[in-house]
Amino acid sequence: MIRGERPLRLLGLLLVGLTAVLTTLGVPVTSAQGATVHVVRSDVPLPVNDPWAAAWDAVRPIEVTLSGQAVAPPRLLIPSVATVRARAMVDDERFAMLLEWADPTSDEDVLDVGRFADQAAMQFALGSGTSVCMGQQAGALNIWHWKADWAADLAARKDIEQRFPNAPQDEHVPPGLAEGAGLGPGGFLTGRAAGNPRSALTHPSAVEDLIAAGFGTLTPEPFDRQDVAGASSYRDGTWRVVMSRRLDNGDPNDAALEAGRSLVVAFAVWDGARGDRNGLKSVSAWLSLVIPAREMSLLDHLPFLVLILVVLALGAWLFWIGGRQPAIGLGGPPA
Amino acid sequence: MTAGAAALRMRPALAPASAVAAWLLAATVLDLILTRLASRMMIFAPKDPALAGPAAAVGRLAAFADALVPLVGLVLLVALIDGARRPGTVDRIGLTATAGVAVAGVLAIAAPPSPWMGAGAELLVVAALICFATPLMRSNRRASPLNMAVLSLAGAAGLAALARVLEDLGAVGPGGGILVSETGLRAAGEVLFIVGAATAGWSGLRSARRAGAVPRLAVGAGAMVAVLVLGASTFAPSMTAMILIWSLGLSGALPAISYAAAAGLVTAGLPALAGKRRAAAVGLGIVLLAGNALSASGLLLAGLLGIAIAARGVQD
Repeated sequence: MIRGERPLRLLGLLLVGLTAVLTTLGVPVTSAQGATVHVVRSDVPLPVNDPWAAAWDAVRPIEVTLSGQAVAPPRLLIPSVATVRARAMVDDERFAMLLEWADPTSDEDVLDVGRFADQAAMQFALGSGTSVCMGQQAGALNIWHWKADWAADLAARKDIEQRFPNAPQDEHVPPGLAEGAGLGPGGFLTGRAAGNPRSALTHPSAVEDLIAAGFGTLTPEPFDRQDVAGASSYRDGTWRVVMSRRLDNGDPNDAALEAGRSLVVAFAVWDGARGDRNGLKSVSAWLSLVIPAREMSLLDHLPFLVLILVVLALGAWLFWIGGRQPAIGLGGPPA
Repeated sequence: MTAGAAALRMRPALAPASAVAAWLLAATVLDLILTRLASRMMIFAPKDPALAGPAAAVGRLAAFADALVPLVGLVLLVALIDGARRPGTVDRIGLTATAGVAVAGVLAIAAPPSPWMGAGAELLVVAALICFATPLMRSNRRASPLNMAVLSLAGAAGLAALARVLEDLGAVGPGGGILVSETGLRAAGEVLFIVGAATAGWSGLRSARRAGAVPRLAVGAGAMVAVLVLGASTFAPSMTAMILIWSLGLSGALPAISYAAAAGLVTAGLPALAGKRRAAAVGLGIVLLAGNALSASGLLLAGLLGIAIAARGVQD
């Protein structure tokens, strides 16, 4: 039993020492109690190509509040999109996330210097304590970035000819040119010659698979590692975008999507009509994403049952203690 | 010798809760400065390898502060339970529910919480808050500013917990259902948090004025803090909003004057309150520094314990 100041100081030192040891060993002491996206397990193949499938409507969404990206320039002080609804499903093969948000216009091309496309992204923290703002040196991010212009290009590629049909084409590659053609020493298509994915004639998917470890470090994964599929549809002022990937792809730069695992994610949405691009985006805070191991069974409720038992035991103990002692306020020695 | 005195001799306190509550206040201050401000500001540090070491050091210190809060919180909880010499059943139920919240936080580290687990833990939060607030609502002085401050802050924590309950329960069954506005609950909670903070500060100043000992230094500091917050909100709104949301969980959606007034009143009033009602001031300090609706389990526990300490401090 501890009474007096000296034992109290010892208790304090013990606490500080224990905290230091746990921190050094990397033993987690806190957990997140924030908003959680609960992934629904499906016995049938996921509707990864149909954002309006009835199976998606059967999943209850979580409404995620967005704020303007106000940390790094270019900043957006007032969010263009107030909220995004997120639904997630998983089967034995794939994980899929559906993002849905209201947008009065569909902006699907960037064929002018003043035009910007609608976009959405979700990021996975690859380490603990990672900054939500593009990650940091100690903890990188894996980002899935859907772009409406890339999605539109997959269906039917548009180029400047469609936007300005009568413009002379003295230095522009005509449509239908073979892959790789037109790249001369003078850099006929500079971005393409530099390997900029935005300048590529074709994209493997409407969703770009990226990694980042801080501002200015956003990097696309190699072409053969671009394995996030996308499907999107705009209907009645609402965008629905599905991003999906195989559960286990063995890539250390990718989010480890495993059954029974809890991950940390965040979302971002761009409204092209409002000039959103780059850092001008509406962003969420971190959320938890829980991928269930299998269909919920009694075993999944074990922690809940343990919690109830512990509370009952503590309650009994407390009532036993309380019944034996007189009242003296906060538990300090009597005056 | 009375029967009560004999019982005290038989069962001395493990540690005085009032002393451990002050430790928790200090740990929460440390967490606010290191974990919620310094480590997050490190994202602005240049990506120079020479700065990687200092950045990592700040990260380790932040992890230390993050771990210290729940550990001190657990010791305080044990001290409160061990010293639960109040005859009130409600108080004991409140402490039991708080212990359940602490256990749920630890369980969530080991296994991803199911929706049932999450909702169960949040309902325990609500139960604990109701238990701690009930004596204040029954009190003859329930309309006093200090009572109202504690009740407002308990209401803010309760609304945040209810919003999480709705999220969890909504994920349990199939079907789209009606999307209840968790965002609305959180917004109402933020209003209560600001009202609670301002009322706590005002209560301290009122008490000091009645005693004829208004702390001029604290009032001056409060005025400076209010002007600082107002100026920052006016001239650097984005940075101010970012600091508010990262550090205290405040969205910045209310008029800037409300945050400035609350910050100023708390800075001026809480030190004044500490002179006469130390436990209440310490408890309120813990609640306010633990922030509004923040998701870390340690801060959630600290906030609950702060409400418990403040409620007892108001009654004693």
